[in-house]
Amino acid sequence: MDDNLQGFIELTDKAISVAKNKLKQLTETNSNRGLIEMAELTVKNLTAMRDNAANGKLPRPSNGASLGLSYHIGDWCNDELYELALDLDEYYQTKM
Amino acid sequence: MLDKIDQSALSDQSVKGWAVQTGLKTLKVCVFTAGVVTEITADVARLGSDLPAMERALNSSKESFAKGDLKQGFRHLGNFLGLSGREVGRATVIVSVVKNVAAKFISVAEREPGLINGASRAGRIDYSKEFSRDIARNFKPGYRIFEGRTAKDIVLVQFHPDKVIGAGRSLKYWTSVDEANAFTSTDDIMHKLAILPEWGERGAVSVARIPKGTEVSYCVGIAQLKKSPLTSEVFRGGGKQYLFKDFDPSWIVERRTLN
Repeated sequence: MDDNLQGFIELTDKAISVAKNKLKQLTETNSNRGLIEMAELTVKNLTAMRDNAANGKLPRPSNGASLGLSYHIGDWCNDELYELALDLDEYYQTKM
Repeated sequence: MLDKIDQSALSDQSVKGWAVQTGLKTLKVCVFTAGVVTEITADVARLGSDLPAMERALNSSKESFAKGDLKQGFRHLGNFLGLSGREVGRATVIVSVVKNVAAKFISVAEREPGLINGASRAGRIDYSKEFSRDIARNFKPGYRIFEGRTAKDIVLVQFHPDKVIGAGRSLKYWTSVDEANAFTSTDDIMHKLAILPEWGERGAVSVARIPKGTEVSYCVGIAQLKKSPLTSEVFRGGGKQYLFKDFDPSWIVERRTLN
C-alpha cells in the first residue's frame, strides 16, 4: 500500500472515530431523529469507504473529482467532523 | 411550512399586539445551537409589550454574551422574548422562523451589530465556517463570489432530504430556477448537481425568494464532478449551484415533497 493511500485510510479512521463519538453523544442526549439518522449514515458510509480504500476499490481521482464528503456531511454538521470531511476531500483531490 | 415575516406590519405596534391581532396563541422561535435547531414555544399571553424593557433585556443579554456567559445571555434573551423556553447551553446564532416574536428582535438586533455571539446577520443561519474550503472542494474553477446587495429578487430552488432544517439538512446549497426547470428526472438532478445517492434521497424541494436589495454573500458556479467512494459511479456535475455564507429561513416561500 502506498503512503498516500495509507494516509487517506488513517484520516478516514479518524473521521469514523469522530462520527461514532458524535452518534453516541446524539443518541445519549435523545437528539432529533434526523440528526441521529445522519450520524448513523455517516458512520456507515465512511466505514464502507474505508473498506473500499483498503481493498484498492476507491475510484481513481480525475478531473478534480470530489468524494462528496464535505458536501454531504456539511449538510448536517458544522464541527470537527465537517472539517475532517473537507480534509478527506482535499486529500483525495490533491494527494492521491 | 415556513411563513414569511411581514415586518412592516410590526412597525407601529408591539409584538404582543401584533400576535394578538393575528389571533395567535403561541409563537415559535428557533435557536440554532452549533447547527442544531432547538424550537422554543412562547405563550403570546406572556409576551412583553414594553419595548424599552425588552431592549434593556437585550442589553443585559449582550453583556452576558460579551463575558462568554451564554447561559445567562440566553436567560436574558428569554426575558426579552417573554419565553418560558428551556435553557440552551451553547449557541452561535439565534434566528426566528415561523410567524414569530423575533421579527421585533431582528429589528433591534440590527441596530446592535454583534449583539449575539457569532451572528453575522440577525435571523440567518451562519454557514461561513470553512466557506472558502467548501468552495475549493465542491465547485469547478471559474466560480464567482458575490458580496453585496441584490440588484433584483433572486429565486432559488433546493432539492433536499425530507428533514428539518438543522437536523439533517442545511440551507447552504441552492440552484437557479432555470436550472431546476431544465431537470428531466430525479436522476438528472442527482447527476447535474453531483449529489451522491448513498447520502439519502432528495425527497423534497424548497423554493426561496431573496428580495431585491438584500445584503447577501454567496458563491455561484458549476457543481464539481463527484465520484462515489462506495460504488465508483461518476456524478458529472455541471449544473449551476449557489453556496451561501448565511441564509435566512424566512426567504423560503414554498416547500413540497417529491413523489
